[in-house]
Formats: sequence, C-alpha cells, structure tokens
Amino acid sequence: MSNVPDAPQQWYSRYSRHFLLENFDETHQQRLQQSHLTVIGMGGLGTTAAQHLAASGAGTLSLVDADTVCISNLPRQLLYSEADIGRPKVFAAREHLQANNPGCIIETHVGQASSCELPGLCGPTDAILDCTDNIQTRLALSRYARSAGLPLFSAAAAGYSAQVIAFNPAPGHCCYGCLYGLNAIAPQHCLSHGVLGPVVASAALFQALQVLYFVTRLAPVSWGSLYRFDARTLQWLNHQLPVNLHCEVCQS
Amino acid sequence: MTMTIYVNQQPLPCPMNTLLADVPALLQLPAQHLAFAVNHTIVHRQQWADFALNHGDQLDAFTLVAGG
Repeated sequence: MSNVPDAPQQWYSRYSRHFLLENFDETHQQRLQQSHLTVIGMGGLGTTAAQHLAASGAGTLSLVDADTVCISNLPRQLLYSEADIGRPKVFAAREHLQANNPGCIIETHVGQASSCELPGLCGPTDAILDCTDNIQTRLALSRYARSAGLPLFSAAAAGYSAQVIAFNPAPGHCCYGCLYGLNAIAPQHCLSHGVLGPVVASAALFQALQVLYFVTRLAPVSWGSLYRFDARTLQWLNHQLPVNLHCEVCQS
Repeated sequence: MTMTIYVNQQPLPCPMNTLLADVPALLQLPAQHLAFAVNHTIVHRQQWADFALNHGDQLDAFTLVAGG
C-alpha cells in the first residue's frame, strides 16, 4: 500500500477530535504531519507507539526491527494478526499502519539497529523512539542520539514494571548511560519474567504522548524525568535523573 | 538519637547521620540492582557513601527494567 494523503476536507474530518482540544489547532497538526520519527524495535512498545503516532497524523515513521511475527507476540503486539505470523514485523506493521492512515509514510528496515547503521537508519529524523529489548542497543542509541543532536524517547517494560524517560541531547542533560550507570537494571525481560500487554502498552502510550508533545510543541517535555509504573499498585511515580559525572556515554 | 525516613512510603527508624549507603542493610536488601531517589531526585550510586539523610526524607527504592 502506498502513501495517500487526505484531501483537505477529509484531513479536517480525520483530525477533528484533535482540533476540539484546548490549545490544539491546525498548526499543531501540521507540525505532526511534517515530523519524521524513527521507531527502533517493533515489539510491544514499538507497535503501540507507532500505532498511535501514525494514526494521530505523524508524517513519516521509520520502523526498524530484525524479527518476524510469532504467535507469542500477539497478546501484546496488537498491530499484528495471526495471518502475519512468519512475516517480518516491519512489513506487517507498515501494511496495518497505512490501512489506518494512508497519509503516513512508512519506511522499513529489517535488521538490528547496530551502531554503524544508526546514521543511515535515523538520518533525517526529528526524534528516536527507543522501543528495544536489550541494553546494548539502548546504549548505542543513546550514544548516537547524543552525537547527532536528536532527542531520544526511551521506554521499557518487564514483569509488572514499566518505565519511560525522555533524553535531551544537549550538553548538561542526562542520557541513557546515566540511567544504566545506576546499576539498577534487574536481570529480567519478557522471556524470563513475562509481561502483560497493558503494562507494556502503558509505557508505550506515555512514550508516544511525550513524542506528540515534543513534535507539536503542545506541552513541554520533562527531559530526564524517569516515570515508573508499578502495575501491582497501579501507581505512576516520577524522579529526576541528574547527569552522572562518571557516565561513559555523555561524559566521555 | 534516631530519626525517621520513609522508604516507599513506609516509615523506617534509623540513627541520626545515616548515609544512603546504609539503607540497603537497614532494609535487609542487597544493594545490587537497587536505585534510590531521595525527595524525588535520583542519587547516583557513586554518591551514596557521602549522601547524608535527614529526618523526614522520602526515599524511593526501586529497580529498573530494559525489556520491550
């Protein structure tokens, strides 16, 4: 399916509920339409965030993932269906995202987001969404985002926990390396500790909302605020992450 | 002399001049994979040994996740 922009009347109809929001007008929607966002990882986080950003009117999404759809993805990766099993995730995602909003340009890359490939994958982007499931890629993304001057919106989930944090690339702001340097990442992921779909989706929705605020300038982004969701108590907490002066990513 | 700090909203009596580095032992938890925020600001592990706590401080003790 190719990109088909809305006719003007349809454009207003499609986003009419946005225009009813306080402080949201055509300028905000146009900023979203002009945005290019890169989603690294199309699992539970990336599918949910991409669905909301594409449907909300993001102009271009670049999707990066090496995996194919498998049946154990389906309880939380709602963008895919049983018919997609065995297909590369990014191709299935492109089809479903454009079925919802043909005006969104979807670029796809089947492969890992390795350090050497990041400049090509994230070339003209306005922001990167870190939706990956491993620390090494998260650190590589942080290094690249810092060097390229790109904001990085990072989300994670495992077990009954979810977390979201936005990193400003400017000097004087913390980065994912500062978070990693806390040495507090529990050795768990969805393969070892399981995860519930709504827990992952909670993180991804919060992440997508921050990206929407950043792109449209509808509200300020709380750079460096770590938002943590405990699904057992249904509580969100947030803490400010200072720069770690020993950080090997942003202080080197 | 003792004081009370609050860890994850639960009161924890402790000696005056308690350092953040002392808190894992007070909680009977291993320090590994543990992060602390004091009054909503995260304290880096390198600062724990010098970070003096005050009566009434609100601490959050937590771990991070990296799955997706």
